[in-house]
Amino acid sequence: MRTQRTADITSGLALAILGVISLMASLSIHGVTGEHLHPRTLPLLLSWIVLGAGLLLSILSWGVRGTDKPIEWPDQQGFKRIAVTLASTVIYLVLLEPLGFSISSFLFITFLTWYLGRYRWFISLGLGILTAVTISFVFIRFLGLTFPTGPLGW
Amino acid sequence: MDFSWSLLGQGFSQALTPMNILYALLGCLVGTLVGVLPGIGPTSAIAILLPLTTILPPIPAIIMMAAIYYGAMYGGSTTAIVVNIPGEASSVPTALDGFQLARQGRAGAALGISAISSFVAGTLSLVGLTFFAPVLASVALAFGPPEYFALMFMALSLVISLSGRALLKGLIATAIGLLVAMVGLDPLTGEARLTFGSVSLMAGVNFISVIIGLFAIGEVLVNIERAATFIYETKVRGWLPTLQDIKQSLGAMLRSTVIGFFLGLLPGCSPAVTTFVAYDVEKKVSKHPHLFGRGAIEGVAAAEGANNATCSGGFVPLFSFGIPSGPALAVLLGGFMMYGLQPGPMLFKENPDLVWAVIASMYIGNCILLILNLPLVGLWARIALIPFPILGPLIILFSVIGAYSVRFLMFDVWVALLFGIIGYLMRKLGYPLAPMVLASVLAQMLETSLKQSLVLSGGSPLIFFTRPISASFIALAFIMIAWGLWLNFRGRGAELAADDGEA
Repeated sequence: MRTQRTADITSGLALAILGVISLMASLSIHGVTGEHLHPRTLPLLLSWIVLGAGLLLSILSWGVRGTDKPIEWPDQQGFKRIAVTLASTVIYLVLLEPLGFSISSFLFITFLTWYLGRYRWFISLGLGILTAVTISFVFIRFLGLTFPTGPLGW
Repeated sequence: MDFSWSLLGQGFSQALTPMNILYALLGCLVGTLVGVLPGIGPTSAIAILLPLTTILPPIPAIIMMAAIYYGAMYGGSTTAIVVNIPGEASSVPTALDGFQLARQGRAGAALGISAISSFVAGTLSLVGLTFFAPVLASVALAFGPPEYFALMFMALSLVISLSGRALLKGLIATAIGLLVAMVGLDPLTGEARLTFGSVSLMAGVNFISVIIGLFAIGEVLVNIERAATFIYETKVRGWLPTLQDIKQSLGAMLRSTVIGFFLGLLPGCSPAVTTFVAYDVEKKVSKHPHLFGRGAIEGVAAAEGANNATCSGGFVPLFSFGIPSGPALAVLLGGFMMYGLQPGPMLFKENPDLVWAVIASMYIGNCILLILNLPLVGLWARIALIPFPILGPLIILFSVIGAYSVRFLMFDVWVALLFGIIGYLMRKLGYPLAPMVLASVLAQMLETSLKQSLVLSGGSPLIFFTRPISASFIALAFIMIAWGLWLNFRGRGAELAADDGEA
């Protein structure tokens, strides 16, 4: 998917597959007979649109000739930064309920600011502590939002 | 339900209570902040804060959300002028001349004109909103379900047709937005739809999580790949423009107000589109068009005026018909829904205190923003210095808080993360975000009005073509689709491409 043409062909096909999956799921929607608009009518129609438009996009892009616009994908370092950000977000979300909002947010901010900014460890640590304290006081104690508090009650 | 001075007066008395002034100020501060900071905009900010504001009564909450939206229009220009980094897509034309003026040592004048033009256009278009919205709401009282369905159909068609060259992608984004909103239980029959047997999906996919993912997390991923850091070099001296600057910009301010306001009434015509149109018009009517792009102060005035006028103009269809013209207003519509309020003609009738308090607060908010932006401009420019390695993780953190606070379900947070990745890919592959957001917010109203229409007609879809207003909307929708196809065919669509940005 280095150029717009190949990206459109690929994404069009992926969307067509999504359309087929949605179509199958729509066909299994039950409803009561005699309704003016069956619960599956709109999902079915929209699935057909996604399927048809996805295929059309692929076919039209296939036929494109001439200069092709490159897609600005990140370099290897950029991909690595995105992968690490996503991985740390996933770990953060997994730890959120067992550790509580404040502690997991502290770990997340400390690690990710350190990784992305290469700051000295105490700067990232300070940011992490500040975030955890803010979350604990503002959102949990002051606003009274029912966030997971973890074993330490934070 | 015409305009009444006493209702506006009551609105001002509500908006001027210390509590409501405080929330307007808070909204203006947050709005300016998100306008200044690249990587987060009003749509993400409102979506993140919306679930947290449910602890407030509706009036201060909506006042604050609205202030975030129009406040962001002011803030976006600061970084565009001082560091040539437009905080929002709508500030790109401001950067064209604003940064050139800054390089010539006239950053202060450019910032001053930007704030004054924003204030003039914002206030004038608020007058338009004050008189126009109740009149349109009176018209909308005659609307039944077929008219509403046709209006929403027209709005979505316009947004798709403004996708320009990406017309097909706009259609796909709309269809997926509608499909996502249909996951869960059917609102009328209670039948499970597209849930794939998952219990979590039974409760549906919350559109706030979708928007937080698409805009906030998606934008963070784009900025993280660039390893964005910002350098602040320009010194701001003398924030007051000269009398000559004001004289030179006055025509541009007024013209851009008219352009911005009337284009802002149309769904899909977000500030990112109208600022370019106003800038282009100003260049055409100017006696010295060669100066545009090299530091023409009218260029800054036109872009900033249109920006703010569009913002106020967008509130007209939102208040009168309940139709948002862009993603940020779609989220605001969601805010109304969270309070059990339905924008549209009945809002003027049943909750006049809320509508008029919000409108009045916008006049006050414009004054607050002028005060915040003129003397504090140096401070805002310095805030733009917050390095992205700190800002990015914080935006993700606030996205998690926002998504979780909707229903206090981890499922919503995972949905936000998933749509963050989808938003990143959509930006890379050239799929417009605005149609998907509008579709996901309007889906339920669209389906309900379709069902009610079919009940009225005994199942015949001809009802949409036999009632004059609904037939007109459907006809306009088809004209817009044809226009979009023509633009697509002619390859001119890119110029009019719907805003993928935040506003």
